[in-house]
Amino acid sequence: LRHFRLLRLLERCGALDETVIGDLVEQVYQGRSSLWLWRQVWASVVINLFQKLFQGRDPMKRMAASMLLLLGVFLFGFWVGRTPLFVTGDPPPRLDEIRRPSRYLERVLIRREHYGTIEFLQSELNRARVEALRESTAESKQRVADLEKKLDAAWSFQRK
Amino acid sequence: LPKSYLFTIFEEMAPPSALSNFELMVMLAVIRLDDQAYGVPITREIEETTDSEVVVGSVYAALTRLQERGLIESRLGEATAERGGRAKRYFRATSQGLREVRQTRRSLMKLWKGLSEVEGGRA
Repeated sequence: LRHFRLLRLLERCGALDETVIGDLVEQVYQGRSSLWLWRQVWASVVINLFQKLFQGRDPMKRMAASMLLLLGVFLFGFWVGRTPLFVTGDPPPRLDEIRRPSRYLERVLIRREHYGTIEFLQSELNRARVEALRESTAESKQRVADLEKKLDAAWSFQRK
Repeated sequence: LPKSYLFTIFEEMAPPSALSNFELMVMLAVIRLDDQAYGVPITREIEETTDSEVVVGSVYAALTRLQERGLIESRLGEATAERGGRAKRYFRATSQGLREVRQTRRSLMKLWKGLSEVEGGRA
């Protein structure tokens, strides 16, 4: 009954035609699930809207709709470009992190901190390798081996 | 070209004449179902043929396009309780629609002819 109230509302808004809703309701009575119903309803609403805007006979309306769509795509791209979360090469949020952004931010910050550690260890290792080549002492070789171990550990943490 | 002419050209442009794959399926379902052709059986017919779910809205979008081109006509039918008191819309192919389907069939048959690669061989 709750579903049918919403359907009536969509019908009154003009989002869906009476016959389309009638067909959907008939199929639900014949045993289709409510998940099927809502998948069909939203897909039909989008198709109906698209048809009204882009396949109508009025060229002005079609042009205005195309312009609005282009503007929307541009603004979305602009927003994504300006959002710091999306431009740092950080991993995308997991499903549970979408619900809790603070958890995602925490993971991102830890990851960035470790990335800084890796950069530092890599530069130290390079310097130690040059030193080991120049001096070729047991102490400098040991330092290179230690740094390599630390770097491996940092990378394995980063990959988790 | 003045701006007003551009809109005139848009208005005068003929709609696409050939039937798309989906439109042809809808047309064939309407012809097959004869006087029982309304949204539910048309959708079922296409779903059974293609073995995939079909959105009722897309069937109606195709039916609207076909009706605008004069290939089918519709009439409102009876309202039933299982439809929540909403009326059915029955569709019927017009003579122009039948001509168009025959023409599409002829064109497709010509295109299919002599294609040994798609005649029962391996993909």
